[in-house]
Amino acid sequence: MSSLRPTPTPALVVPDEQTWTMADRDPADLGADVTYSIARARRVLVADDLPPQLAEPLAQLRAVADPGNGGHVHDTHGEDTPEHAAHGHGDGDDAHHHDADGQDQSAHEHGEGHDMMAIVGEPSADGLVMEPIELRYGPLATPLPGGLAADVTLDGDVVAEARVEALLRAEPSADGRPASPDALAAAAWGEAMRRADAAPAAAGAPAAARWVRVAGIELERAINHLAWLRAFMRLLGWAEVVASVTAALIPLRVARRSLPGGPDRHTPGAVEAASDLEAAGEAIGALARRLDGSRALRLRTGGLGAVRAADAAERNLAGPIARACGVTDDARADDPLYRLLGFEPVVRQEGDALARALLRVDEAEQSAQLAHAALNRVANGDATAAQLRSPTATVEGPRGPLRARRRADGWDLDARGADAARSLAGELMVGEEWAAALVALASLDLSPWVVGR
Amino acid sequence: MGGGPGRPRLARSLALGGGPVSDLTPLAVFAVAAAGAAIVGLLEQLVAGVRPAPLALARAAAATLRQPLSRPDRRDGWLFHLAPGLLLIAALGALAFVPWAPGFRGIDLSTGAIAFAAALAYVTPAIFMAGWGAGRPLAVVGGFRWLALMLAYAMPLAMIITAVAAPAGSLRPTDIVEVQHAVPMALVQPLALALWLPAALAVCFLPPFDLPQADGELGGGAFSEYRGLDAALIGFAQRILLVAVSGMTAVLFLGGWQGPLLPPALWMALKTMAVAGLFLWVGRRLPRLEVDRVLSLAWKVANPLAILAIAYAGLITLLFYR
Repeated sequence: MSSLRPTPTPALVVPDEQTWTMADRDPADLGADVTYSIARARRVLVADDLPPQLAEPLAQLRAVADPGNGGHVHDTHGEDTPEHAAHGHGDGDDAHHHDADGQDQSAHEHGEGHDMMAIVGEPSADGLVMEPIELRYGPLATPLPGGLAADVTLDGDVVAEARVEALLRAEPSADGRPASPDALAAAAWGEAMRRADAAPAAAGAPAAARWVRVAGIELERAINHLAWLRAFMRLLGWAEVVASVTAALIPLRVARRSLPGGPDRHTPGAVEAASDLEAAGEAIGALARRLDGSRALRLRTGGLGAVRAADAAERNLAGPIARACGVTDDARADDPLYRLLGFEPVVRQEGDALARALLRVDEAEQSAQLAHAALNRVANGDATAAQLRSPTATVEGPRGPLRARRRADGWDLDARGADAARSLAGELMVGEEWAAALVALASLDLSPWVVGR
Repeated sequence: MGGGPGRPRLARSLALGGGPVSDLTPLAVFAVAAAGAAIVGLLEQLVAGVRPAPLALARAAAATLRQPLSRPDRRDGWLFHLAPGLLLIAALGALAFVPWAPGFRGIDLSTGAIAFAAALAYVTPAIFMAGWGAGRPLAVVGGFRWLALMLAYAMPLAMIITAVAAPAGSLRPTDIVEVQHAVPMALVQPLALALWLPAALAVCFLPPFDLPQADGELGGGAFSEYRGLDAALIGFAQRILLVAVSGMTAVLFLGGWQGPLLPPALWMALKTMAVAGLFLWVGRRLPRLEVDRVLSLAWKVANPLAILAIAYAGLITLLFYR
């Protein structure tokens, strides 16, 4: 009994559990049982640095979560003050009022003289004429990253139309320093910008610091993939695997905290982090073997959202989406530091939701091993790290290559394939039953951050 | 309580006492429901790897009750507000037909086993009313899912009850318990048990059959708009359903209250909680099933096999029970 946890409290997490985990804060640390049901939630956990684009959706969420108290709920990390009810509530003339999770309640109008006993319009795929339902899924209180929203038209419970939108854009930093344009890939963006930075300090970094940065990027990738996997398993309603992933995240997060800090120091923290990574690698490996042989996962996700290699190349898709359909495209393959570590890209062929899920688990295991190998080089005093500096630097982030180029007045930043993936998401959802469409959408691990515009 | 000579009409026995229903039956059923729901709550914590904490359960219930009732703008008022109560009545009705001991038989009807299934049928309109009444797209989807699924679950349930009742020659649950004095029906009719268990779990809309509410897909689905007392009633009703189907599983397949050394009611309670614990454990081990796959399995696999189970039951009845 002493190993049993105290009772967690159902909580909505804003912007989402994945973002919290990437910021080194797990809602489970606060005794939260993450839920996407406003009815079930008894708390709302709000991140300290919530993007401004999510302020209004959060206000709506609070209003519906606790309408009788003016939107005041038991908050953590948020303003603990009453909120005014969201606009549109109780306004019967507003044909597009939104619930707190942004669900649009409107349905298509059929013109004047609408007869309540007869539904007119085009027949659906099965020949029945049904009233289409429009809803906006997101940007909060869903298994997707906070800031990602899908405008969907349902034909019964089948998706007839879908469009996925990312709402978040990074604000430029006040002091002019390069700020990561994507909170879900801060370490990778930081490394890309550092390599592209013409400042002399970046050129003479010792080998140990470069290995530590490799370890940091790989840790970020592993944590990102596992955090995504946890949200995906919550979508599938698989409680046991959610618990297993949470357990596998712990040594990764501890290792990230143990990483030597600063660009020019290496400390005994590298040894501690390496031992945590060994434990993490074993836990992730066990998880990977379980999921790889899981018939239940295969039945639930196999064949959904399939992307062919030819389509991936034509659309210029990148990252795990492309590698899951056989495209061997990984910026790390061209990186001399990774070649020294013996890196080989992980690739699968099926291109469906199952392949994307299993690929990310495999990559998470590989990343733990790469980070471990990099830190071992630090601990062993290995000085054979290549110098890396170029005007345009590319680093493989958790979702694909991230490119940075320093200009005189700022930065050119590009996340190749991100926009293509979002437009692909809408197409993959069409024609699928709602739950299957969500699995296809969630399997893409889209970023809610728009970079470069 | 319960039992007695002849089969007096229900209304008369309520007035006179004795017969299939005594004056204390409603109170006793509610007491069993409350105790069972509390124990199920503790089992949920244990299965989830959480330290069982009755106080935490009580605090959670109190917090839910403190919430104000929800009034969704586009709700269908009557359907929305009646649904939780109907769900609770269905659950209590099903529980009332479960016998717990020779001296505590609930509503002891000669057709009690089928009446149990009939009571469960009211879960269907309750959940559909909840989904439709909320007026939100994903709530409606949840309600329609249940409408399609419950029919698929209900048919195997009724057929398996028939199969299990055949050796007893009676649909009275106490007779079914007594016919298992030598061998439990779980060993005599394993096919029937294998079909009963998923159907019984599905009727409680618990994972992996939590399709009408589906936290990740539907954000609470058919129940997404309920707060306060309504939400508490739904949670209470779901736990009572679990106690009811687990108890009937013990009656139909595990010999009910029969067992050595311990008092009958305690045996029945242990068997019921073991089945409930099994259901909760399975729910954590598997991902949520897809609607289409469940329907396909129910109609194309479970129902034909249930017919086979009836035929098999007839054969063993002729060979061993007559």
